[in-house]
Amino acid sequence: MSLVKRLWIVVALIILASVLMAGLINIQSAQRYLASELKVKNLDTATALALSLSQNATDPVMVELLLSSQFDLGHYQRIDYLGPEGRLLAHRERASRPTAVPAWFMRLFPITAEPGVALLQSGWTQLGSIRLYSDPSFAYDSLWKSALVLAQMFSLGGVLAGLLGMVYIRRVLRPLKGVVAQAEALAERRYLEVRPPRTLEFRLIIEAMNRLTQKTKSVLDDESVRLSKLKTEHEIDPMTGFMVREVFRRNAAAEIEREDTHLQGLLLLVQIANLEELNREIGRHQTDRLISTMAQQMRLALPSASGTRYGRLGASDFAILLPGQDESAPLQQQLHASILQVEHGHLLQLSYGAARYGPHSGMSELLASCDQSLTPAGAGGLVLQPPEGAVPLRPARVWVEILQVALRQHEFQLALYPVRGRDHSYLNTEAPARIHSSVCGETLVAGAFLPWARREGLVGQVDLEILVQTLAEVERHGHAICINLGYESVCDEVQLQRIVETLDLHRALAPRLCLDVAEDIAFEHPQAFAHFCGRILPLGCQVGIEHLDHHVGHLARLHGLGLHYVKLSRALVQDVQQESAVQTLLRGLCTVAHTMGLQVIAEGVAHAGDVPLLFELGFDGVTGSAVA
Amino acid sequence: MTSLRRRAGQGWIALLGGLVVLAGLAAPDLDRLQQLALSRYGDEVARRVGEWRNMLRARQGPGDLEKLESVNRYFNQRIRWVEDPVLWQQDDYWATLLETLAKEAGDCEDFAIAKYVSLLLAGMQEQQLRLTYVRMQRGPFTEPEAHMILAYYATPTSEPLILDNLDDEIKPASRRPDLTPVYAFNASQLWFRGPNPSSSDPTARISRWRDVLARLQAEHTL
Repeated sequence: MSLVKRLWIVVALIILASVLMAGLINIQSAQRYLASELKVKNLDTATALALSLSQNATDPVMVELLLSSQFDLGHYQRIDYLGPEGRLLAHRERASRPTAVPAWFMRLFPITAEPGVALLQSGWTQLGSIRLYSDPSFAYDSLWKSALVLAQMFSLGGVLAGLLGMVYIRRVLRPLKGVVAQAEALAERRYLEVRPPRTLEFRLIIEAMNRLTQKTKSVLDDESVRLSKLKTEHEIDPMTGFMVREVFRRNAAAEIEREDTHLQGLLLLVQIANLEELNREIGRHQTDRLISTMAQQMRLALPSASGTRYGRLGASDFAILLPGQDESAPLQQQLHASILQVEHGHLLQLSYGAARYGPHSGMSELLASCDQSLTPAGAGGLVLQPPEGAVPLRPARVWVEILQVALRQHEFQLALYPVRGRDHSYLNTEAPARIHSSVCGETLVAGAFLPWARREGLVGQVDLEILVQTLAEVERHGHAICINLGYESVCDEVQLQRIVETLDLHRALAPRLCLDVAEDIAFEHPQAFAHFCGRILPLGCQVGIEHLDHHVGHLARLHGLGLHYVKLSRALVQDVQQESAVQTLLRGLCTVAHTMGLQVIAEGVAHAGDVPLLFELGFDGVTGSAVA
Repeated sequence: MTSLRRRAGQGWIALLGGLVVLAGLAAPDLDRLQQLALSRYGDEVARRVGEWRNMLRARQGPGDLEKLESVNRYFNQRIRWVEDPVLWQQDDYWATLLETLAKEAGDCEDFAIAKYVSLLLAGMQEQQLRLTYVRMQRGPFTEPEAHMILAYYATPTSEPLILDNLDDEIKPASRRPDLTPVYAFNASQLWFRGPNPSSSDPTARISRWRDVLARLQAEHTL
């Protein structure tokens, strides 16, 4: 039984007892008062009657007359006239008036009014005595009526007191909900902070738990910082902040292979042709500074779309992956112009190369073709050949038509890939969306149509369509399915409301639905994402972060949200066999994530040999071609 | 159940009534009366109470007439007649036996009450004694006065003997033409000895007679 109920029962019992006691005392004192009033009345009337009899009664007829008049006009049940020797000489009596008072009440609270007795005499001669009895039914009536009124008033007062008590108990115990929520969250490794309430005991508990939360948070923060540093040391060129060669290759390859982002894009190469001379002429120190500022300027010059990667391939070679870009010449000019603005920028002799990539481009070929196309700056832009296997470009209007038809005719399909746990066990199914388009007769992957959907403002509709399909799929096959939600679904209140309503209609299915949110959205819009989690998680869905890579160092920021898992990007896990530093990083990440109650899943695992190692490092699941 | 509740009710009464109730339940106890006299008024009064007890004890055996004679004489000789306003600074005050003995003074009611109580203690029947209001006309030309005497009836129908503080001789009613009875009473009509103590009952104080009866009982005299 809950604490509130128990307290409520105690309050009710106390109120009941006090009301009963008060009522009893009240009725008893009324009962005593009535009895003594009756007695006094009896006495007084008997005395008055005796007085007048003593003065006037000269013969028995007179006595009888006086008795009769008193009896007939008064409210007496019985009058006795006893002779000097105690013999009953005359008496008047009537039956007790019938009364509405229940018999049990008269038994419980009897009113025993003693008779009034007075002595009679005529001159010095004793005439005997009279005895006068009142009808107690009037007194019972009055006692019963006042008892009823009392009962009404007391029950009203009792109910009022009970209500007040309940309100007060609720108020006092309200912080208990916070305590319970915090304790439950703690069990799920979510670290909520609750404002300490005023009630002393609750305050102590909550303060203790808040301390625990803060301590855990700070431990997690420290660990995240350490991991972030580890990752940075291992992956980032300190002078430019660009990725080192291998890391860049890896990240760029992962980006190119991803099918849910742009399928096409550009790889730019910038080369400092005169690095040796610069070192000689202005000194190594100055050269380093020049390169550092140049790198900063490059970042500023180019569009900062998601998926853009910067790498330093060698001392003098810099590469930039620009997903979704098509024309290299304007970008090169832009880049060159801004590099020239740098102090001593004119000292640099730069060459530019570029290559287009498509969904199946290999990194080595891309870099080779970039190399081949290197042209000194000022020679104008390059005209690029489309890469082999690239999707032929469609005009925008065709894309709009494809999307609209797909939405209208439900042409979305889910490609199903299992997520495996230890020992090849099944965890859930990842379901990237496809359009099986009737417009162009092709199956289009998310990376192909999502950029267009984004441009046309259709992502919300697409997400909702996919969600509905996924729910149908979940209902049909009964397994858990992961889909991903885009920016609008997380950050746009109207769209979020639609998703919540859709999920609300399918509450029973919600526990088997996993919603992936890309790291950029989660970490760059933390407030919107927290709001999203607050709306979605109560419905029973699982929510996790996908493609976690750049923000691994900020993992601790996610705690308190109640997420279920993180999916580490392919770029982060693909070289796990070769690099011991990667292993260290992944092991640390798994520890931190587990401390936060998150499952860790590796994305895009291509080599079957990586799988046992990943589980050994602490992963809970893997997905990708190796386990498909 | 009912009896339990009734007992509980008595418990409350006891709480409310306190010592007065306990005193009210007590039977006459002249040792305690004497102790009370000692603690309240000192040796002198206690000695006087002792004297009065000796007089009563000496009269336990003989017949009613002797008892009447000695009690009447005892009070008529020892108690001075003093008006209430002088003695008690009240218009009308009915004193208890102890108070009358302590003051050695009283008015007609105090005499009648003291004699009445003494005679009861000497073993006389209550039905034989009546405190009687009388109208007194001392002479043909004097104003009539209100007076109280104690009347003794040998039997319910016989002519009463009059114990009067103004007349040391006990005479039958026929020899007291100056007295006209108005109303007579004794404790039997008002007084219910037992577990219904009038002193805890606020209405009991209304009547002078009931009041003095309650005080008499509190002083262990009744």
